[in-house]
Amino acid sequence: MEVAVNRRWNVNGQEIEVTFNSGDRLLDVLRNDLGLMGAKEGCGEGECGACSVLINGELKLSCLQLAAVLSDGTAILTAEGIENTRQGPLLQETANRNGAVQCGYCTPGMMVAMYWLMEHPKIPAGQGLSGNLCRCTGYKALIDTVDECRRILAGKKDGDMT
Amino acid sequence: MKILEPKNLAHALKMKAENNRAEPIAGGTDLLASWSAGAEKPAVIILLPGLAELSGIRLNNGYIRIGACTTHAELASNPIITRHLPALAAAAAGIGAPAVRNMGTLGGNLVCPSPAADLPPVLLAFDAEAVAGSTAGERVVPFSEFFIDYRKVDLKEDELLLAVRIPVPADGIKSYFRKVGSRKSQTLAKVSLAARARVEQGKVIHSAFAAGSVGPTVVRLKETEALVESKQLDLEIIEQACKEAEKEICPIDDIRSTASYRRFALNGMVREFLEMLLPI
Repeated sequence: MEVAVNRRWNVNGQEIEVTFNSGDRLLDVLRNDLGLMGAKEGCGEGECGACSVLINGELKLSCLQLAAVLSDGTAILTAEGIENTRQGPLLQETANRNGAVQCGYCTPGMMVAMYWLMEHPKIPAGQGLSGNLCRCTGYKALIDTVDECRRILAGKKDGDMT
Repeated sequence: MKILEPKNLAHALKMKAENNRAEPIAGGTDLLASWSAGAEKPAVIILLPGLAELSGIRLNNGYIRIGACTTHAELASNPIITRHLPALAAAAAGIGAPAVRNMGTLGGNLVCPSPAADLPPVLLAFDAEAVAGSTAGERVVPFSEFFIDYRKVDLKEDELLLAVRIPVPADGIKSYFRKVGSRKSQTLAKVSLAARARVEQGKVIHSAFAAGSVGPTVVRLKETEALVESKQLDLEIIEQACKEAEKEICPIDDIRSTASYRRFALNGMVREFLEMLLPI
């Protein structure tokens, strides 16, 4: 029998309160209770990355995340929240310019993983995206996007805006 | 599904004592994947994340003690592990993909281990021990006894796996880990090998080999170890050791590979490790 669980989280910068069933996955809560359709159910078993989100800044899979495990105060970032982050617009613009999208199914998960990789510049882009399956654009445009964003961010840090 | 949220380890152990069938959950990657595949959800779960006693990696009294809730990402990058146990760091770095490594934990890889699990071969090769806990106290079990059979381990129904402890390897020990899968990421082992040894005056001393995915549970290659012990390492001994390793495993044909390929690949990995020990 399911039991109701109540949590207060920060989702995409907003403080929210949500009640869900004890057995629900974070993916279910995001889509069914919070109306956030970015995270998708691809395989439902942690192989495809279409449900990727950031939880307290770490890349995780919302299909393998039991929602009840996330205590009050947990910060969650989904694809919908990326445009309102500091580096989100740079990522969106760079992905557009590189044509790093085709059918779009993997795109929300890819954007979240690419955003995480912008914050973890030591992880090679290809390795970092190895858990996100894309079966149409190919990975070159995606890897180029991560590398280009990193170059731009590194340049900004040195004060070189060319 | 009833959810128990312990405040600390003592509280969690009391909950487990009172609810033997309660399922502890840490990263949840194995559990939730099994639920998606249709497995029945437990009636009661105990939430382990956030219990400070189950996290952290410490060097103490000649042992490295690793909390059961340590994630694979932490294992792969922790300076104590990368310095003293590079084979364990390498095994953790090859599990799943980044998001899985940010979620899955050491304990989760051990308490209901698939024969293809990546960490058991390393722990077995390095004489590691499981630290189980209950309201009665701690119980230390060598992994050679902990892994009993297919997905069966020596953990009693009122116990939680608290930590793993590994004797700090002596200086000069060479170690090895390799997983052969169908790709680099998001792959399960067709066969894996962890090994360690020291070479003194050209002789192999105290070698250990442990192979995964070649039987119902991880196995030490004892005949191979005995064959090379105190022997002058040369190409002929290496050849004999590779053959011996092939003989002492009992792999099967399954969805990921065949018994004959598994023997072939294990032969190659034993060779790769022993050739690494030859003088340059």
